[in-house]
Amino acid sequence: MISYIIRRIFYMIPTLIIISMISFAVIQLPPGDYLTTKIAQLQAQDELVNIDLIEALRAEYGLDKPVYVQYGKWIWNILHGNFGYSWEWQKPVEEVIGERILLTAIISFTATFMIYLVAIPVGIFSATNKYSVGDYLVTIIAFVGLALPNFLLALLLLFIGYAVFDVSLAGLFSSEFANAPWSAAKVGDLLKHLWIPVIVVGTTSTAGRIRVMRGNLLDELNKPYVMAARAKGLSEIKLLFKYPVRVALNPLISGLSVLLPQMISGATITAVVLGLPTTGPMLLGALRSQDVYLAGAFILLLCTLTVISTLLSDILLAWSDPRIQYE
Amino acid sequence: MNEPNDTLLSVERLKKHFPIKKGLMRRITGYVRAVDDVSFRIRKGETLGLVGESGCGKSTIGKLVLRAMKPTAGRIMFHLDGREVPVHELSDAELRPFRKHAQLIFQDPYASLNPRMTVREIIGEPILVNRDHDSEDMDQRVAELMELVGLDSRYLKRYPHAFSGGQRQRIGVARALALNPDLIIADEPVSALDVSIQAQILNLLHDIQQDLNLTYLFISHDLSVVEYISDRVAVMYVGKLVEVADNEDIFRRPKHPYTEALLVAVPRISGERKAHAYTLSGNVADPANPPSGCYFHPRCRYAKDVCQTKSVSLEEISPGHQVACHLASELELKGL
Amino acid sequence: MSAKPLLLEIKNLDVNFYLDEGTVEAVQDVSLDIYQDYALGIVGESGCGKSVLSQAIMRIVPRPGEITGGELVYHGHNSHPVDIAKLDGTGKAIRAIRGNEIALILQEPMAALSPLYTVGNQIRDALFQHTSMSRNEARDYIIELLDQVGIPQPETRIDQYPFELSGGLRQRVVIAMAIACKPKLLIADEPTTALDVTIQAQILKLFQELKDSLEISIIFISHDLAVISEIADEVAVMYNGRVVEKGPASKVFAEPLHPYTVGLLKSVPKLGVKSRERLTVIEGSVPDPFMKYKGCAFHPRCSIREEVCTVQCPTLKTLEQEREVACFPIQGNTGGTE
Repeated sequence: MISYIIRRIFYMIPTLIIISMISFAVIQLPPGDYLTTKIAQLQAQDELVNIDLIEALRAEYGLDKPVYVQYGKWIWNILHGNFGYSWEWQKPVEEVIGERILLTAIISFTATFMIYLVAIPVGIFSATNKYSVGDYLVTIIAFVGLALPNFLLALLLLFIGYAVFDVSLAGLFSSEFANAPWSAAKVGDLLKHLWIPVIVVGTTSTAGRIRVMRGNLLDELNKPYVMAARAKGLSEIKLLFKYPVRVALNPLISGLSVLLPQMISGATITAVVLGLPTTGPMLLGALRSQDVYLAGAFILLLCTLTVISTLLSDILLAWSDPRIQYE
Repeated sequence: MNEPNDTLLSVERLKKHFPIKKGLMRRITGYVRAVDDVSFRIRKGETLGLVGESGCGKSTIGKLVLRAMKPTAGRIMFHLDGREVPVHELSDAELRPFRKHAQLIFQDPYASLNPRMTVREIIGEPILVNRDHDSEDMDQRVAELMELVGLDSRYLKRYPHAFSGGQRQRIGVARALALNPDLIIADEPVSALDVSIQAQILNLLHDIQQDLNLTYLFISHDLSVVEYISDRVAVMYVGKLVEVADNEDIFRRPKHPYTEALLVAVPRISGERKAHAYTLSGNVADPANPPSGCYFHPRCRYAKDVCQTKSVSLEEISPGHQVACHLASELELKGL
Repeated sequence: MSAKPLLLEIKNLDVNFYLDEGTVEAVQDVSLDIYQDYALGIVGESGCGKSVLSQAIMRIVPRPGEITGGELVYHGHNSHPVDIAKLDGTGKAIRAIRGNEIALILQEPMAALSPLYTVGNQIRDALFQHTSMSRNEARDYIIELLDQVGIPQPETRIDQYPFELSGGLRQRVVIAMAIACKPKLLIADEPTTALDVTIQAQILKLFQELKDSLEISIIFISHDLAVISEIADEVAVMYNGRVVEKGPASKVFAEPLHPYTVGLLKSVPKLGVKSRERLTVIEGSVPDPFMKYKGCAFHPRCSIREEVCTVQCPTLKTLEQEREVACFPIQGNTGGTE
């Protein structure tokens, strides 16, 4: 097991290096840099351009140097905890994204947790009661959930909130807490608002995973080892959870590696619709205005998260299925 | 090789080793010797039975002869009207014309037929691929082949699922015959079939051999079937041949203790229940880590010190009877 | 054998599968008596109903299969007979019998074991279910069991996963799992089919030893006539869901009565009876389970069929001592052997 984990971590290193190169290259693709954009903007507005400041920044970040030097500088700084400077926000990148990353992580992890909490038992129910009324009901709801785009569901929930309950459900905080420092009351306020984005972000994946769990379990239920377990005299519940369910969980565990980054990056449109202070909208803005270091930091963090969650799900899988360590 | 005239296939010192990778860097730490220094010949028109237990390498030999796999070492010579084809070193382009001459019949008649192809497409595919016939006489050729293997040619357009297991295996035989091969490699062709159907397929193989002068390499774990169909028999244990002889000699006068043990182990229908006087103990040796000396010695009831230390090779002890056993000349073994 | 006490009476058992494509009558009107300390062999080809019959005895026929008629009277349970067919399929009563009084061994030892648990963990299930053994007691007992079924180094094997064992050892594990609670009846469904000949011989020997040492009754199911002839006291031949012939194994194999049994015995190549003649075959193919045969299901393949065979279905009739056959022409000849 240890050797397996070490090997997996070892494989991560080249992956991360390549990812960082690709993200940097993608950011550099459009002609010019943030400063040229900014200068053009300021000049268009007839404002005075502080050429000295801009030249100083350009020199500090090596924007006048070849691309590989810029990349080297960027990575060197990141390894020292400096993610660069956001031109757009006029602040170091760490400061700009810190809270957003935290809020994004809270939403994503909660959603992931909810997805599994709902999908696994419902999938088991659906499989063990195949073709019952309950199964059909679950199936219909799951298909609707799959078919409904996230942003539409978000709009729907917002509308219901306004029309029926007369409350605004947008955002993650009530207006009095939005810019307040963290406190117990603020956390409470967050929890009050959290469920809407969690439902919106998680519905499609929950529906998909119910179908996956149901399908897997149906396959497993017909396997001889289930009959063998039944022949030992075990009760249906006991044998169900000990044998087929555990095997059927495998694809869901390996699906974790895809789910987590999906939750984080895929929710952009939802975040725009709900007005959430998460990473999605900011990444979009940063890419538009060529705010290189902000966008680069986001992409790098998201990719790193993907790689780490892949590692986590692989380790979980190896722990749950002893065959994997032996290959 | 002394008698090149009637030899169709000669295999010399054939080896296939699969690397084992282990550890952090996946370094090669050893080899599975699936086929290890195997030599044999098949004469034109005869059936060589290849028997052994699962994992002994018998199917690998089949794949090597067909060049579905590249041998690690050794020679595979195919003798065609005075010409010698060095199968072991053919390039991919050179393999194509060779494939006409050697065809395979698979074990599982369910898995080996594409469910989305009609019988016509399945049997006709090798013809098309080798551009042997234009598509107009292809129908006729496929119909001919179907009749030959005892299928109604009206069912040309049907899909495999419409056929029973026995009929599917007939389709598999027809596909193998499509290009008029010289050699047929049959890898456990009846193992997956019902008892009453096995006999039908064995009869079919027997009949087409007579009619088409086919040569068989018949791979099976079932000694009764091998005894029925083979002219000569080669017994394999952990990647090596341990005994090769005429059918009569192998079954009546076995010279290798493993052959004897296999014969004793086969259950037989008899009025009296056989008291299991002797069962071979233990498991087949691990081809990645075989025992010293003769690979069979840990399970052999006759083993002496020499068997633990000195390796053995196949030697001819009487005309046409080869054995790989240090004690072959002293042992009195029981045949059927 | 009739002197031995009865353990299980199968009376007129019917099992149907209600599928979208139609109803499959997998087991039809099967009656068999199983005695204590005795081995019954059931032989037949794929789809003949032999496996479904074994599942029916345990009440684990998979959906959409159902027992639709007949009785399964079990006499081993606290000395008063229970009709297993009438019990609730998932209830306490049947679960007290499964794995405890009657145990099942499935064909493919790899498939019958879960890949996710160690061998010891899977054997433990039945012990925890039916006895009050503690974890440590169970462990010691399992090591003893593994030793009893001939597994070397049982102390280390107990903590290994099924995929770390060879096919022969896996089947021994499955056997250990089945005999853990000392059942009175062991049903073995093709237990040696997936094994090599030398390993098959070892396992058959083990069955013989277990039968002698535990005084257990065995229902041994196989398509392989020779395997059955090695292990069974009595043999029942099944065709298309019905028992077509039944009798002492030695007599049935020496002098088969039913034309299907005769054909089967003739069509297998027999070791030591070398001839390159064509084998005698039973023409046609194994019956289609969805097909409803009028009369005797074997008549389309039968060489001695008469008019009556195509309209009426024969039932088992006793011909001579202990020999029963379901075939009109043979019954008509009263005791003739072909």
